[in-house]
Amino acid sequence: MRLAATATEQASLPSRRPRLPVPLLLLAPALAIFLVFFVLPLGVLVVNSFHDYSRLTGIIPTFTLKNYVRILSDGFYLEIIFRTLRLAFLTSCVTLIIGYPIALYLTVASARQRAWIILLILSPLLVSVIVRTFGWLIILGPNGLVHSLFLALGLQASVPLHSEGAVIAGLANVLLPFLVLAVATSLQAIDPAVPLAAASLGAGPWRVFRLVVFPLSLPGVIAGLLIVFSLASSSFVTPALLGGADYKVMSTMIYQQALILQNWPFAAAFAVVLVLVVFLVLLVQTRLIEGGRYRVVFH
Amino acid sequence: MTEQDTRITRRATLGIGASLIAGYGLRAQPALAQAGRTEGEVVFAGYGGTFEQFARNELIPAFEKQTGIKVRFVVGTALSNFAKVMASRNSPEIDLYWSNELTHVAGKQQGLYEKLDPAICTNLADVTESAKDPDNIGVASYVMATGIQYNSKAFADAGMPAPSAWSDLWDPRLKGKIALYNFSVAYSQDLLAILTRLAGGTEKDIRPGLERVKALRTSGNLAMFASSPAELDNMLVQGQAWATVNGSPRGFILKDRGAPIDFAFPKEGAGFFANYFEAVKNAPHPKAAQTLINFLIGPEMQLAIANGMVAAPINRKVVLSDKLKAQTPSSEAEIKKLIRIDRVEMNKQLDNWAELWNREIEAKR
Repeated sequence: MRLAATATEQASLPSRRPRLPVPLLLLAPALAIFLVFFVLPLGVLVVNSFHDYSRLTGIIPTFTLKNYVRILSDGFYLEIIFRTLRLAFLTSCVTLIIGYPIALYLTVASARQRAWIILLILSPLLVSVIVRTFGWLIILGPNGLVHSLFLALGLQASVPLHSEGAVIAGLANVLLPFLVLAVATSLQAIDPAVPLAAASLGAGPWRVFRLVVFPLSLPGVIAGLLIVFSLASSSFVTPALLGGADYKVMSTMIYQQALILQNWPFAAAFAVVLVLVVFLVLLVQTRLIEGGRYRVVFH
Repeated sequence: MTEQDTRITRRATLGIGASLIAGYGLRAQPALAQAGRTEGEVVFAGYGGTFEQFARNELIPAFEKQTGIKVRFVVGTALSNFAKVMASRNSPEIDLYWSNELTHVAGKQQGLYEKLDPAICTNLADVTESAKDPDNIGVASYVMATGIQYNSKAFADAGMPAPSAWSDLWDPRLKGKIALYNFSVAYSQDLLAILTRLAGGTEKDIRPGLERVKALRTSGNLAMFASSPAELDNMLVQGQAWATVNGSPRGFILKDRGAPIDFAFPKEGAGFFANYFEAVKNAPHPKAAQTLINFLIGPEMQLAIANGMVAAPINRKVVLSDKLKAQTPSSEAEIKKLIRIDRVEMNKQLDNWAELWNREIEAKR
């Protein structure tokens, strides 16, 4: 009784000490950097995309929708948008197919094996993107490993370089660690008792994987695909060097318009379209998976 | 969190954000004010690679010794430096910008450059007519030619004579052996103009030149595109491509290094190509910039540049070695034979040219 009375007394006393907004103070530096170096320039970019441009006078600060109309009504640019999305999609699939087994292995590997595998898959990131892409140029080029192998086997294959496949290979090579680490984290969070319970109820290993392990790893898969898709759709160097001059993606057009033709408003419009399209795709993907059959995993 | 807490944190966010932005903006001002006061320094935006080495080893020490003005060299391409000049036009950081044909005209039209003062740039009196700008805004740094660069060994092995005319590129024996720069590099842009002129047209309508390049593509001769000089050099040296269109210096520089590469000035006429020294308008060190330009167009530096870059000097007083005379369009007569592209019209039309090239030449077949 005595204790309960004290508790109610304490509850009715107003709090005198002002509570410091500690979470906000911790976030403030990151928030400030984010605002100044990301949100502000992005804002300038969006404003720029509505301006007009002439080679004789430079940027004309009026309001016009012509940049967006030009992009969305021209089959040539729509094809480029579609190609960018297709590249990102295929790269995501390839990294998922190659990366998921690696992530699975990481959960059962010993600590030392885990360290080695993580080092191996992270190693492409340790090298500059240009050096890495030139490496692919050598391997996939007409005098390179892959083509020589095909010729030695007697296959009549065209040079693998300057094709969509080459770009996917180059991108998957560097984006793999993102997916593997995201999925591995998710897999490691699975309570080992759960698949064990499934097995004890009579499910074979494949059913355990398909109906228990894979669904439980979906949050990690989504996180990984998010990163891979975004990075693949905005990549510039890899498609430029490995895809050849006729493999144009959105970043190629942005580069051409901004640097070669100095038409910053048009390049800005392209950039905004890229951001919106990728954002839309990721939103749809996330909603589909999180609201799908396995929604129970996310809640 | 209570209502009270949320209100406080929102205010705090706005406060911190606003003060940081204001602080950042205010801090920039004193730095700009200081910049204009001293002319003891000049910022020179130029090219990297061999030119940067030449600038740091010979040019800058010589200039600093002669005038006592420090030179800060900023590396970039003509286009990336132009983007910097354009972006900072209200408070420029670059004093001397080394431009190419197009950015010279584009920048001039947009009022980005200063007129050269003959009182400071006394060497202008010795500069050849073709190197001067009609309004005295900027001056050419050297003259080179756009022509055919080829792998001499590949042609010799195939029993074909070395190419000597533009029309040689369409030879059916060269199927799959021609490489070109993609549209980002000036030489491919110039090729369109040159071919149009040879077909009797003008830069107003680039169709004639475009059709010729398209024919090169559909016949299968043009099979490769390069995005940088290094990539193109690689294709030629390795023999993947036998011929391409490039500026004259590169072929001769590779030849001097022992590669089986050579350059031909096409019979119908090579293209005139120059880079220009520009004094940026409202730059922090205008007099120092013009002093540096005067130094660079003087006879000693012009000789050094001609030797280092394998290009024709623009100062009449320079005497070249015989070897260099053969490799560069050094005489007035030779320069007259070069095809001069109407850069003003080209600047107006470049967007259209880019569209056409994207859709018809670099398109997926």
